[in-house]
Amino acid sequence: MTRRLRGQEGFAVPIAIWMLMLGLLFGGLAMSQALLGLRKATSSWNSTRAHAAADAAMRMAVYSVNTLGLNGAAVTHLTSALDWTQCAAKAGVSDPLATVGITAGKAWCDPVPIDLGGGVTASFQLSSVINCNVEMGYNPLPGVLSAGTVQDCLKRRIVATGTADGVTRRVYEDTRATAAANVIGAFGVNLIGSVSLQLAKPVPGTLRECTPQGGSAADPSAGC
Amino acid sequence: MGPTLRTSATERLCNQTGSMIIEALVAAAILLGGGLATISAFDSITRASHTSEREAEAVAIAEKQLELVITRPYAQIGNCELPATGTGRSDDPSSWIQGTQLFVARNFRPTGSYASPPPVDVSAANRLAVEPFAVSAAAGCVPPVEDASTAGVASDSKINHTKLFRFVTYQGGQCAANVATTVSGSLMSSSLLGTAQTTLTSTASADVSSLCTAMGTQQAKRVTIAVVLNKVGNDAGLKYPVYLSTLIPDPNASLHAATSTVLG
Repeated sequence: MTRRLRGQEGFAVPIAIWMLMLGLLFGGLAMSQALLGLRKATSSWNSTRAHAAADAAMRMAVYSVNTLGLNGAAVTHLTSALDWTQCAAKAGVSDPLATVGITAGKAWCDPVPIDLGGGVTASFQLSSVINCNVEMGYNPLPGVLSAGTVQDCLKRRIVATGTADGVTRRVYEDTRATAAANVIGAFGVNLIGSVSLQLAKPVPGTLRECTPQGGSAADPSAGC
Repeated sequence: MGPTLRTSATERLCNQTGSMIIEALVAAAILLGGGLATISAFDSITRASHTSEREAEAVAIAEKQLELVITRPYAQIGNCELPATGTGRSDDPSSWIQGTQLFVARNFRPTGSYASPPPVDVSAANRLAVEPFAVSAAAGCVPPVEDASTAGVASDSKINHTKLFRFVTYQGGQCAANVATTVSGSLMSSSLLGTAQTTLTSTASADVSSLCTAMGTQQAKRVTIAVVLNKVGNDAGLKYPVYLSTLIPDPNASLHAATSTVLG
């Protein structure tokens, strides 16, 4: 045994194999790092695309509020205790855009899907109309109409989601519109004689990123 | 009788004379094979690493370009001129141009691997929409193509040539047939004076109808940015362009365009 060890025979092949194994190990590590970098770069691209899609959906949400008059019914039913929120509605991504009244007891409209092409999709969800007279320094809405001008502030919360190749980004923003109703007395009752509803605009400082999977059906703004 | 030169197989095996040379040859062969494999793997690693670096830079450039376009006033978001049609290959973003329109694909990059980029897939299955370009030579307009540009490239970057494509098209959206009825119907209220109600609902109905007609072709502007980068020495780089797109509706669009308000 000692003589064989001293003779150094039979060492070259195991050493070569060990060297090779070591080389393969380092090579494998370098390869996995390079592939990880490539995956990260692709993931970053998808994340950027998803964020751009979520931003697009956010803008489309405000656009639908203003062009489809989704805040209008809340103004013409000023003293009603019911929720007169109108929602943009689209069952499928290729379906035409419609409007529906919010379902009783729901605080959020259903998501409206958008296909941006290139494998990128987005959606937006509008909340029920929230009165923001206090934020604007207006008087609270009256329970009964009295002659004069009634000022109304209408706020909507928006959650927009963008998805690209499995990567999801969500953003949240408030939008606010103001309205004025001119109440006049006619035939012994006070009624709204004219209404002016301004454009809804994003509220500065409310735009924020949400956790990608944080929302729930009951509260899409969870995690924002 | 002289000594015999013949030895038995067992004796030859026991006798280790010459085994060092064989061993050394085997070891050398293993190391040589392993070395060659490592060198070829190293080349792939370098290429993959450069490609990821390149992709990250392309995404950053695309993001910056998109930001530059969408922060302009809505009226200025348009191409200065109609971009020219491309080569037809999927590594050329201009290949999606069809005359005065842009083919908006469901998938801009070909699926599967090809030795050289295949033609763009303009089949009906890959078509999301075909949209007209928003062209306006007004001040502040967006040039559709910028070649040999180093816009947004970091000073220590290996990128010395980017080709930027900025396409602005009109995106259309369809309204449901009953949307005018549902919008005007939702405004009806017993709190409204009769004349006010009539005016409000009829105006809203007419406004929705004309808006939906316009929305059919021009609901928003779609901004599509594509970035093509030069390849480096070892052929590392992006085989296909990096695309980034978003939608910009008119922030001042209103239901009642006559007064730029929603109602009244």
